[in-house]
Amino acid sequence: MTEVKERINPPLDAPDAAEEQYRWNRRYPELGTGPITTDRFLSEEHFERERKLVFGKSWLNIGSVHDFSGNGSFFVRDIAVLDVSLLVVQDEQGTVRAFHNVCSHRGNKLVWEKSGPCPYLFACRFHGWGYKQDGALASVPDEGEFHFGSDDKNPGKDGLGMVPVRTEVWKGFIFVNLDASGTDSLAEHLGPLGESLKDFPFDALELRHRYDVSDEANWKVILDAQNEIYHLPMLAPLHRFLGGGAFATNEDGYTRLLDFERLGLHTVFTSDSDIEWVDTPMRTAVAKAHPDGGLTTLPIRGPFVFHVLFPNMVLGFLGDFMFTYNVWPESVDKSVWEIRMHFPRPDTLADRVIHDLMKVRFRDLLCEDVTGHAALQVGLKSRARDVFVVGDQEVQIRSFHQNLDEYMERGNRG
Amino acid sequence: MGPFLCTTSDVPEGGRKSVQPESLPELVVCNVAGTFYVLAATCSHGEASLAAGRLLGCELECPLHAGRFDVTTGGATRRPAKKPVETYQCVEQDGGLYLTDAASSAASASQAA
Repeated sequence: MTEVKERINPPLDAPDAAEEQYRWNRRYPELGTGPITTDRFLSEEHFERERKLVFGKSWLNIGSVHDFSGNGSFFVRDIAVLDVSLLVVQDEQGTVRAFHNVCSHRGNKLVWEKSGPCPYLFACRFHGWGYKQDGALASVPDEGEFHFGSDDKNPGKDGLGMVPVRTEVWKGFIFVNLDASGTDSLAEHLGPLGESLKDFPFDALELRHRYDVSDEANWKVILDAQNEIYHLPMLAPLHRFLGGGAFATNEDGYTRLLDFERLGLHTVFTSDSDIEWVDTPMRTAVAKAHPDGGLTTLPIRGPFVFHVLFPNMVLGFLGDFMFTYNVWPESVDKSVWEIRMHFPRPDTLADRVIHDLMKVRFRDLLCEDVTGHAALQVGLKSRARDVFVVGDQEVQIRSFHQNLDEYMERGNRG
Repeated sequence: MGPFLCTTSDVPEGGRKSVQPESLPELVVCNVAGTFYVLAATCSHGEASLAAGRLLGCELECPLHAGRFDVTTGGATRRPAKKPVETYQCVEQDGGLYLTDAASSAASASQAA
């Protein structure tokens, strides 16, 4: 299936550490214990600050190299919250660049297709100006009629290429930063999170499934709802039956985080296996028929590992597959939840069947989540309460909002 | 013989009934195909009376979070419940249902605890 066979399971802090009350508050007292305001999910003013100070300044994941069909191909990424369209190109040598998808002539949106092999030149549909894969302007129809200059005020042809956007690739994931004056590198942004995954064998996985879900909720409602497992045993009818043995509960039936870490702007939490879990008849039958199939072979710390990459990406592992989320705000109460599922390359048909079963199970769980997100937004929007409370087993949410506040504060100071 | 619980006609087949014998915790009597089972009524997971839940075959479902218990053993059969609830022996006499002496003292002990 994959050459990676060893699973890393570090020892717990102590056998009874998971039951220590307020364990995460003790580890991260700076996160406090107070409530979280609901206004941040509803206010246009807050949304505007996020747009400008977070999405306008942070590194953002816009896809992965799996979105290309190979060297010499492209995809277009529209980012509604920033009102930009990007043309992302992997050239013949494999270098990835992103540009504003805008023709330098009259400002037309240059490429209208979503993806494909690079054409001879990226030619504007309006008047046919053509650009090379590196963004350079190569062809201007009736060029002699233009008054090209040679300075910033009146640039020449050399200065009229597509406008590049800061672009970096990490482990196959493509990130852009729309803050042209920013100087921080992607490595600096990822910080200890990037370090913690530096040896992870991302190459052993391939992108298999994509879902783009229109979600009637603020982007943080979606992230928060995913960024905890307190709800797993309760949310019915699907979560409690299809969560599988990936979420250990204590003897009272409540989930306990195996671990939680703040990694710079980012976080990661892990759950432990539920050894008493009785799976569905189909999953049990499949496991019996193919005992070697679908085993966890990725080097992860538990059966469920959930990284939140600030601001809006999730990189998670569940058993033998990896999923990513990108939650893109469209307005204060509307978002697109992009879900991508990556699996090890299957050796046999049985592997493939097991993967597809996992896909269907995961998809059904997330359908239940989508309904929940919309209901959360309705409840918050009623403004019945100005604040809500989170428990110690939801520490991830507390951390995310504190990071968000601090990031915006820093951005405000310039 | 221990305390009186209810008459057998109070709990038809497939039914369940809350009973509150003096000095004992709330109990629930279930009738599964003509056989009576008695359990501690408070769910081992949330604060709820199983007597208000559905009896589905031999499983009693908590009305709060829908955990389930096998009434013949008291064992939890569905999450989020994991811990069992106590079961008690009962006897039928002259159309009445009674805890056995042993069950009665067990229930008192559990009440005291």
